[in-house]
Amino acid sequence: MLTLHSPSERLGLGVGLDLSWGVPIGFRRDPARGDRVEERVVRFLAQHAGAFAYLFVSWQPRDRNRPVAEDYFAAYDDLFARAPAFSALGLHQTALNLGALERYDRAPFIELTNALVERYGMCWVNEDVGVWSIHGHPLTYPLPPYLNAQGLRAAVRNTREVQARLRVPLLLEFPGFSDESISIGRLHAYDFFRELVEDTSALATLDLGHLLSYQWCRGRRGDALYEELERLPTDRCVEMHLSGCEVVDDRLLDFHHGLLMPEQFELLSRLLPHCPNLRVVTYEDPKFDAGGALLERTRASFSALRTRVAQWARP
Amino acid sequence: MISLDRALDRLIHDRAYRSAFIQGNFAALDLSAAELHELSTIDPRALCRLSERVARETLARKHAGSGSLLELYPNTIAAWRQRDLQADWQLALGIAFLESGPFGACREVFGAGESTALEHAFYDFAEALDLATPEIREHEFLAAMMKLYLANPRAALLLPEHLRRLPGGVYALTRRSPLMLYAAVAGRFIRGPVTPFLADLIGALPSSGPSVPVKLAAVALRHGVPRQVLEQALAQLSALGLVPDSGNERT
Repeated sequence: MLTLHSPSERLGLGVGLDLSWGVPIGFRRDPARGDRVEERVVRFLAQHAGAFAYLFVSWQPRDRNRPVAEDYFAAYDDLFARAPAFSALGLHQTALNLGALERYDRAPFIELTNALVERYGMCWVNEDVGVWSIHGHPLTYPLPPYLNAQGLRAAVRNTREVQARLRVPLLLEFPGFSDESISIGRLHAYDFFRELVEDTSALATLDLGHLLSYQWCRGRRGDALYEELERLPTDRCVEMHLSGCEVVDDRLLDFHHGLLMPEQFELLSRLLPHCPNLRVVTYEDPKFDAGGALLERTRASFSALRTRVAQWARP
Repeated sequence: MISLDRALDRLIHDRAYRSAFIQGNFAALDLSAAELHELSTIDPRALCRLSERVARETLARKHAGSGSLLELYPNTIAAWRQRDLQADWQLALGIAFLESGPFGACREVFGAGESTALEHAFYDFAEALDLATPEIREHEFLAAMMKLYLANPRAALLLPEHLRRLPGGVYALTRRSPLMLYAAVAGRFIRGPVTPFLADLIGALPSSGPSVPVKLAAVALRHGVPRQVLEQALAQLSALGLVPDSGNERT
């Protein structure tokens, strides 16, 4: 069981893959042969064996059946049988809806998550503290939680509900405030997140694009993007995410396209000294071709991140 | 007064409610002063971009094994395009669907409560607008529902009144055009014309467990069908997976 008091080994660089169904970087439904992971995913991981110490998979629904773990075993078995070995594995959930105000039956998702975690030996489960759906209607991008007292109480309640049933630690991820989203309430998002993490004794994931997007939507630019970091629960941060972001027409967009911004590297350098329990820095949603090779335009991002993380992991 | 989450739901999905918010017509929002204060942090341009994206994706989002609403209702949607001459007809259709009662009653996300399927909600929406012809709507609806149940036999959805359960799946018969059977049984999509006798025979099959021979015999008697023909019909239905093995008892 991961705790802040266990030896805080630095795993180094991780990779996060959002494996949806029926897409090139994802899983394939195959009633005849059994579900499997797309070949390009296996090729990518094989080509980068040794580059990543950690892998997380973002859970995405296979279909609209009642969620049952057994429906996912064939595809996940195929992935982990053919992927190289990693020091640690994680699961990124997308169905816990931790920011919702309305009541929501999470039990089937927690049961499914526990089954996957146990079968594959995953060390923790992560989810952005956001509103992923509202009254049963899915959203195109998770909205930030309601940044008021009511929203904080709901997030604490939801988190505790999940923690009580989940068999591994739940990592709360700071949510995105990309231009894709809207924000409700007047609490500072860093304070909201810190209070949530502290009230639930949870561990934290800091997504650097999400942090920048919050300050960006508040009108911060330049050095002001890196202010107020002391308001974050950095001592409880065990994972960082860096996914492709870009500014378009003065709007910061969380594209997940593999291209990292210089501001993400700057923020990484500023945060690392304040995160004593950090285990892994994860390159989220790399983009690669059918042969498993990183897209040319993203290679510099990957290379720079790999170098920077290696400096941190082996100081 | 409505809750903050209800208000957010309506801001995203309900055009009139969103317009009232953006135009400052706060009396129409049914919110307390405190909640209005919380919502005032929303950037109206971002809200409009979000709601437009949701509207487009609700139509275009592909569902495993069945496809998107745009793919499932091509002729019904073609009728909308003929009626709505806006350049961005898809956005207009998406917004109209999102603000409709059938969409509001639909819960796509598991865990939010049992509801009608999105495909069913779109059918009810098209019915209310009388898009295309009743026959076209019915055919597209039944095909959409069968594809849904084929891909999701354990879907937590309210079964439409049109559809009936069989031990191996679901089926429906057209009501607005010459009798046509639609079925999703034993992993197969079945569509084809049927006689009134076959339709009644299928209707006499139980939703679970073995068939009751006397009921099937009564259907044959009502249609003046001899036992031999009844047995041939049952054999055909069995081959299609409509009659489970345990129900193949003969009279």
